[in-house]
Amino acid sequence: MEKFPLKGTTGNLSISSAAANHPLSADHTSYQSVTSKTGKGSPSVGGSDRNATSTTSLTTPGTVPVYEADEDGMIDITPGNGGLTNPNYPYSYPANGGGDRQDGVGAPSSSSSSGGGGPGPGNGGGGGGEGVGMSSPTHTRFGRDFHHSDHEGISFAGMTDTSDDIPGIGQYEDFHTIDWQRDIARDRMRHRYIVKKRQDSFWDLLKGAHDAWSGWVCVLLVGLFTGCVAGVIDIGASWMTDLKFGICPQAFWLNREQCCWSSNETSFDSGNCSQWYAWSEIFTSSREGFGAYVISYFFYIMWAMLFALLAASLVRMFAPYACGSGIPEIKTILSGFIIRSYLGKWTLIIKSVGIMLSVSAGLSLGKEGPMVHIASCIGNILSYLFPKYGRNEAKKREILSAAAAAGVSVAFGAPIGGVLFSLEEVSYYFPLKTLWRSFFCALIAAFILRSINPFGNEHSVLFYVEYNKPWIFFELVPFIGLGIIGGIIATLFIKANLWWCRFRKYSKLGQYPVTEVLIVTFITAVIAYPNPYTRMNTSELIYLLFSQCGISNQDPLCDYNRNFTDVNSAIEIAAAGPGVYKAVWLLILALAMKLIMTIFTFGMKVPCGLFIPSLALGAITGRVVGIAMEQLAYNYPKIWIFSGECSTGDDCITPGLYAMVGAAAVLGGVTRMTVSLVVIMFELTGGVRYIVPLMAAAMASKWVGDALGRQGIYDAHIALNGYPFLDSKDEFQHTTLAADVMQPKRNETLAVITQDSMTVDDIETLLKETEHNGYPVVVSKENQYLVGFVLRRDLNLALANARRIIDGITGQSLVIFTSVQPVQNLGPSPLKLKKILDMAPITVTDQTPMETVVDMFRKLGLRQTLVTHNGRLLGVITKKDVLRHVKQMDNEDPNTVLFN
Amino acid sequence: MDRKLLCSIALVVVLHVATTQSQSYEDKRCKCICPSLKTVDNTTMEGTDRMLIIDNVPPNKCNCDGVILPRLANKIKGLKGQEICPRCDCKYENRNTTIIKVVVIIVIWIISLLVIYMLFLMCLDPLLNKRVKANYQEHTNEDVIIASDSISPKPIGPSINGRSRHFRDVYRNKYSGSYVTTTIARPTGGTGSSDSDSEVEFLATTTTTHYRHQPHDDRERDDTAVTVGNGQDMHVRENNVLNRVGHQQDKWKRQVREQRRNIYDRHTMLN
Repeated sequence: MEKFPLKGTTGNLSISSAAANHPLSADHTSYQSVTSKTGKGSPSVGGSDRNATSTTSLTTPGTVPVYEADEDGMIDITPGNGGLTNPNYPYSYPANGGGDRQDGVGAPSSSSSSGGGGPGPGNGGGGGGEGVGMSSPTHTRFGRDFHHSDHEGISFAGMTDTSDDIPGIGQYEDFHTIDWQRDIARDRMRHRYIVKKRQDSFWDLLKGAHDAWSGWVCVLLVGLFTGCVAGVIDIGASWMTDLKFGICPQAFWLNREQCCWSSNETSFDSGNCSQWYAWSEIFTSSREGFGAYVISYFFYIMWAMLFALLAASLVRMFAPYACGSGIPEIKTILSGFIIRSYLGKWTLIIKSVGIMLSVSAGLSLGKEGPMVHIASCIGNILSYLFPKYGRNEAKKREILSAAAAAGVSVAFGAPIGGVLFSLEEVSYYFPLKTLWRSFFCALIAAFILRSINPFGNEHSVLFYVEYNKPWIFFELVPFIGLGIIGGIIATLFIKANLWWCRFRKYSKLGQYPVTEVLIVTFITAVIAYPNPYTRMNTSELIYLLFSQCGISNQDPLCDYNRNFTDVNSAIEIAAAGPGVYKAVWLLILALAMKLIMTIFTFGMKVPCGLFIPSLALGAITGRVVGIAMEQLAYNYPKIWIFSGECSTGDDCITPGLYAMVGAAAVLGGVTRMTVSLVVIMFELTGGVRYIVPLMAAAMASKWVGDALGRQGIYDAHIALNGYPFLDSKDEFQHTTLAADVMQPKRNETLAVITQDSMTVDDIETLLKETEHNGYPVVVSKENQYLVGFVLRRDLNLALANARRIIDGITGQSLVIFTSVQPVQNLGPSPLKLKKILDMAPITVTDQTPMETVVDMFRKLGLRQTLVTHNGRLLGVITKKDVLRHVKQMDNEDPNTVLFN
Repeated sequence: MDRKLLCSIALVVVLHVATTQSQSYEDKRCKCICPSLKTVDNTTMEGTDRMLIIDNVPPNKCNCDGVILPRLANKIKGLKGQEICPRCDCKYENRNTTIIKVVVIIVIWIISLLVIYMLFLMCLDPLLNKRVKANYQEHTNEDVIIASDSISPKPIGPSINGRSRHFRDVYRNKYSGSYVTTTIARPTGGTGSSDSDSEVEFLATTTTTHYRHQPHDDRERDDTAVTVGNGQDMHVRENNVLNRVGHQQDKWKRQVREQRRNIYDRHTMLN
């Protein structure tokens, strides 16, 4: 079953990664940033000289614009197509780009009247000032040209089926930001093409139908595979965890509980039975005693070290991207960033194996966060089966959102919680269609995992508990108190963990990843073994803390002086026995140990998640508080706060509920989730009546957390790594303008390409001398009126492709970005690159407040926007510029934004 | 390369399942926990003793009446049953041991394959790269000679070819006989049958080879390998496969190196 995604994707993955041999080459480059390698403006000066002549030649009478006939078949659905015959009509409703765009296209008409020389700031407009007189003839042509070719500009990528397409166009380099608008426009074009073709033949109809349902099929497959992989991980991890303690010789593949499945003699102390052999039993044939303890201790440490060593070295050897939780990176990727092979097949394999190993090593980490990463890997791999998603990064992110939901769904057995998690925490762009698909995907994944039944408890998590006890109104006070404690613990954890991660990043410690893992594992194992609550699997500990003390619970935690008379009636409240007090002390020790160890564990170079340790921290706190409340109620049942509920002798306080609330509080404080957290918790318990306590605790914890430290752990790690993530939760509250942010700054020139006067050599020189990721195309150097935007990568590909395929392309060939037929060409035949030109770049004016610009970047998912003044191009604002500006405004170091 | 790997896994799993179909472990149980009989007798408060009863009954019978009373019929007289039953907690559980077995075996296989491959890469790769770099020229020459021998046009650059050949060679030298299974673990495991012949021959001839051979030695060895594996078509195809696989592997290795540099050296990601 695992064969399928691997086999299906080897080819595709290699295709996509083939173009990114050296992602570092694009690592620190920036769009239109200041870095022109040669001196300021020297290439553009030369260019403008040449352009002066060429533009005049364009205005000669010989250049009556000749329009090429488009493939109008592609765009016959576009509304308002025929109404735009007036060339001077302000083109406010582009056919394909969506109505939400205020193009700068209307601006040329105003600029021709106002002359562009007046209030315009000097930067960038230097060449344009003199060229005003020329703008009039250019303008008419420009307007009609623009209108006419807008379809073509957008439809270039929609024609991916046609044979003359340049390979690789529409893909992105590694560590680059995607352009959501462009990708969505591409998909719309493709969709129109399919709809149009559908009437042609039955086969095309079938293809159309396949295209229509491929999204659902894809998420179905993602759900299936996610469920299976999660089942494998659950079973494998529980088996290997018990391998630390002993083995089941009759059937080595069973863990301790399964080994003693049909044994009647399970002793209640350790859960051992005669079929299960502890290591001490095998080597010294005794189960009790000092020697046995030492041998068990030794084996525990050795196995833990072995597992940790395997996990760390596998990660280091095969897929370094598999380390960590993965959620910060998934968030960044979903916000429109490319990290190649972060969701690849090796990452999937190594992360799955590595998380089993590192959970079994007894490290203070969980497998729930990595499950999200694993599911996203599956989503990414499977999306290559469907070209609609595999070839379009924006569409692929819809599948990834659904996959993330499936990941949480299998991690907690909470499908709805998963969908909400995807919506609240990880996803950036989440339309309703994705919501439904996520729902379906999460449902399928949970169903599959449930039918695999990895824990033998009919649920997909180990710590599923069922509650139906009422709570007293006054209990809200301790619940909120737990929320506050949870927020404090969480903030403490985040700060300490970040401090440690930063230390690891900048110190020598970071050079010894495997050694670090081994040392932490050793310390964890040595400390954890003596305390039974840390020795056991963390999920089991959570289960123990969540569950009520019934007759079937033999832990010292349930050592109450009570007599079980009827399992169906309410358990009476009782005094705590000595076991409870001992257990409480051990739990407090466990809390301290887990908190400290988790700080050092999270961020190590093994796959590690955060949910389970935070849940455990909270559950311990909550349980201790719950026991305190219970004893208070037992000793003073008549206090007004219990409003008489406890005087009847019933067990009015449930410590397990406190544990659950505490767990929610800490997890909420660490991740700053609210809605999805509450839903996950109540899906874990199957009780709706605890929503109010959980909500109160989650809210209190979030407030306390937000007050003490601004960011959740994932946002903090995104900031630490400097990922280009533009958080949609933050508000931009400064009064800067687009002109303050845009590149180039004053006294620097903007690298532009002219639409029809640069030769191939010119462009290649420009590409060599500058490192920008894209270039605006303007009418001419003098008339910097915007024509479109072309990406560096596309330009490179197109030039290489043209040199290879088209005859007669030399360095002297003109590169033409218009659809105008060139004048009697004396030199070599021109190279038409209109196909790669984005004719509908988003533009703003230089006076646009940054608040609006940031909003546009967030909501439209822009990669860059062009800044105009009086219709003339002034500069470019890229996502990186925005991120740096936001950081600068928040008094942080803007240089921490590393990529693109 | 993954396909091959997975095929072998699947085969082994199927074999395992087929051979050990008879299992002594049941998949269903009814687990009841009751206070021990003493507590019922004496009605003392110190009733921490529990009684565990596990039985295989249908789910609707999984209660005190179906499980406990028949068992304790001789111990309990009269109305004790009415006393003990309300205090018992019965739970019906089921599981699937076959799935558990298959999954655990798959996991063991995957981990061991990965570990073997990792050890292989760790021990041989640095050595290999060093030697390939040193003997690059010689190997190209040698390969050209071999190519002209086998009357076949070389499709892609001979450097990779030489490297993979070399790779195999060193590999054999180092692990002569002891790690034969690792051939499966390697993604380059698609060697033809002629190769296995030559390998047997080879292993027979080289008993205690030191892995630091002179280039001369290597060439000799290669020649033997070629002459022993006499099917020329086989040889060509094998070369193609090796080329392709070697190419892919190189690309993948480059990617991983890049990732390693980002994460472990420059600390730009995933801190």
